[in-house]
Amino acid sequence: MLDFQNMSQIEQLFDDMEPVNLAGEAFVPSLHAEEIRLDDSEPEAENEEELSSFEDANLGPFQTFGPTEAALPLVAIDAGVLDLGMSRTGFALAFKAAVVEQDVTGTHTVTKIGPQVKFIAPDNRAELLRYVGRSMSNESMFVTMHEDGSCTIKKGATEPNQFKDRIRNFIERMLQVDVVQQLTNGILLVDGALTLRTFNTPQIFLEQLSREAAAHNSEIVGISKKSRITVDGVHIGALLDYDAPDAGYRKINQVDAEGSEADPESRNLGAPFAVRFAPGGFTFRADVTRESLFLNEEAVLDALYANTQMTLGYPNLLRLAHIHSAFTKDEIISLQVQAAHNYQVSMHAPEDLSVIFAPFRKGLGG
Amino acid sequence: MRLHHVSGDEIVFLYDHSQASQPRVGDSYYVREIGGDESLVAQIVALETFDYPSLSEVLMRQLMEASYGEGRVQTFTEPTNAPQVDNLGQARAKIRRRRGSDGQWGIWNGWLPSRNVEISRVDDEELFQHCGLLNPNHPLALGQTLDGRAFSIAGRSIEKINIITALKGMGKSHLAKVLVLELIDKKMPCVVFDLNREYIHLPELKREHNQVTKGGAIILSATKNFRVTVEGFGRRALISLFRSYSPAEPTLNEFELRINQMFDQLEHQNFARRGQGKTQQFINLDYVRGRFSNNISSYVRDAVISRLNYIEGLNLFAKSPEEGISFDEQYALCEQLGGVLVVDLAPLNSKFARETFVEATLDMVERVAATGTKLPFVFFEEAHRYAKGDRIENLVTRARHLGVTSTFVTNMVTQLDETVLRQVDNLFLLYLPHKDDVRHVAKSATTDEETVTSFAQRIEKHHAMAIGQATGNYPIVFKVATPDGVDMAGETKYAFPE
Repeated sequence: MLDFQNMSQIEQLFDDMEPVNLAGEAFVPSLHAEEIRLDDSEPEAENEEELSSFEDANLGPFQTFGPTEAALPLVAIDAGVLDLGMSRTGFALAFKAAVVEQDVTGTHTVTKIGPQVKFIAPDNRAELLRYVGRSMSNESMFVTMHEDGSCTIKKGATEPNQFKDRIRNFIERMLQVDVVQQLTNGILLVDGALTLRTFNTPQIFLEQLSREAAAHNSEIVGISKKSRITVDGVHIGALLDYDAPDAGYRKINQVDAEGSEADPESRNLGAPFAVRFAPGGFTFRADVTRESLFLNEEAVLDALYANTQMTLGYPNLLRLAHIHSAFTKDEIISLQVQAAHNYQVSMHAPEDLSVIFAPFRKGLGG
Repeated sequence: MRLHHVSGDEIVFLYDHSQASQPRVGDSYYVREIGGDESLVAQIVALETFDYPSLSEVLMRQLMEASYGEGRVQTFTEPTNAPQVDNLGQARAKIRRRRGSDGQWGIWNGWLPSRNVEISRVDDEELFQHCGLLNPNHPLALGQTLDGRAFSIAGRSIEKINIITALKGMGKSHLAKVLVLELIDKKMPCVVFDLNREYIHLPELKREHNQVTKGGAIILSATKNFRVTVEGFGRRALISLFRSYSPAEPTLNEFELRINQMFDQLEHQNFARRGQGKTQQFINLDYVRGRFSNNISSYVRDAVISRLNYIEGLNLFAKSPEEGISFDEQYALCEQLGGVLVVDLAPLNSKFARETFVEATLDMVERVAATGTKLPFVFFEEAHRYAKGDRIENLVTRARHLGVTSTFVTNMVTQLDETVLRQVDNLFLLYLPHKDDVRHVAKSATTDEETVTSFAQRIEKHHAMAIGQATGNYPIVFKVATPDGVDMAGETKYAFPE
């Protein structure tokens, strides 16, 4: 079973940096079923620059997965975040994460983190982001530091969704660090692309992550369920449509957006692929590193395919990580009550705007 | 507790298992609209698990986690005080009454509060007050409530028709014995038809000559110490018994004629003897045979004599005055300080003999009910084993006229005729899991089928639900009393030592 040294950093985020003077504030929980999404945060989004770099890329030949006899340990990580409700000036979020490990004998081990509640209010949000940045090697990534030691949030970084993404990403990254420091000769599976230039993770942190994996002869594979990239105008989900309906992949060979000779790997920790893990299955974007003794990224994909079960064309290990990090409705209700209790806020019934347009609910999430 | 919804006369509450005070089947609650002074009175009839939207997901995940194997799941930073939906339970209740603004309980007229309600327990004192059980007249102590308060019912409320039913071994005879002992305590005479020697260990009636010093049980063991005299058996019973041997019409007519003449003379003579302070005349079957020796066709005589021989073979009738116990006299003893005549039917081997014997005894009961100073309380243990349906029906339908109170103690309630069920004044329901039994007993007029179904399958051993006249038609669950110093066990033979 993996040992999680960075858990203390995650715990510190929940234990410290608490808002003060919330007591008595009205707290409106997200009570309506149609407002509750069981995991309403996307992994690291692809930025526009990255998307344009794919447009002019070319595709490698379609290859079916090759045989491999090497048994590898695999680890999948996923983290979820959920909006619990709003107070007058702040909002409450819940976080949950899971690490699923499969050793060389095929035995699975699960580590669950949370669910935990964090109330984000004007008096703690800058400190929180500062802590998150510092934990990922760049204290001023999200905040502007002042000479007196105080900090303010950088412009455009105060939306609730940005807090959700950043804290969720922080938890996931801390767990990734723990895993790559222990995973030897294995593959770490993460939900999302391995894009280097993101809004939520300092590039230096990702590079350190990559070096750590290399030091342990391990690889990182990022699987994107909802990639927006297109190659030559074709969406990633359709890139393998004219290939044989077998399980296989095509490498996406990027060129610089402006046709220069810039190294495409400077935008991505690994090499991007369009992958279909099961005959007739969905096509995903997969970013594959090659830090270990594998001959190439294709060999990493072959090893991944050979060592993990696929469920409807998706790596089961990631599916399990998603299952264990997803919120159930009963948890949401419990966490809302807990948030109200812990922060001494007064729970108020949400305003149901749907009555205005009833029975026509379009646009209200119904 | 929180109100979840109301549907028909049913309310569903949610409650938290982790709280100290949890609802129990049988508990009653006020559901009062906040700001109003009217309430519903609802009684919990079933506790269930709460089915919440993500239940399947939660269970699947728990099963998955279990399947990883021991020590294969570790958890960090789990919240310590998050309330758990798993702890929620669902309590189904029936609306029983409506409490008006004056605090009085009345029939529920369909009024409902909004969801903005306050829910509070109705304590035993208040429940008893509204059910007329707070200070019952001539109280019969049956046990204690779930909260430990003494539970007694008014003596008169138990009169006429009662049913005690349960699965075998759940304590129905125990409850019947508690009732008998309480009636004795109130100096009432009882008669128990005991098929399995269940009641023979009740405290014995003590007397000095004809003066009773302590009320208790007199065991009348059929064919042994309790053989009836012909005059005690009575003319109607004797003719009825004779008829059961299918005589031809001329034979029956002749028998009826001469038996009626015999009883007319007997009554006349006994009347005269009473006036002279002499003992009553004793009649046995030999005397009856003698009535058919003269002025009768030989065919008819032979037909009568042969049937009287069959009747003698039943061993029911006393041959000498010493053998015959007068039911009337024993009953009179029970009238003095209270007592129970336990009619032990175990020695009777055939159903016909039992039916005959019980029918005759019931005739005697009816007679003493008419002539005695106190009305009898009759307990039938598994009546279908020894009493004909029409005989029971006859007794039940005339109960109010006769003044005889009948209590049927049975684990085969389906054998009780619907006519009897419809006449029931009180139902004592113990654990009864079989649906057929529940459906049948629900035909009694005391309450609805859902209530019977819910309680019958959820009552602990030695607990009972009482409903009917005795409880103001409000179902009350109680733990049946265990009288001190009384051997309540029956007589059961076992092959294996304990």
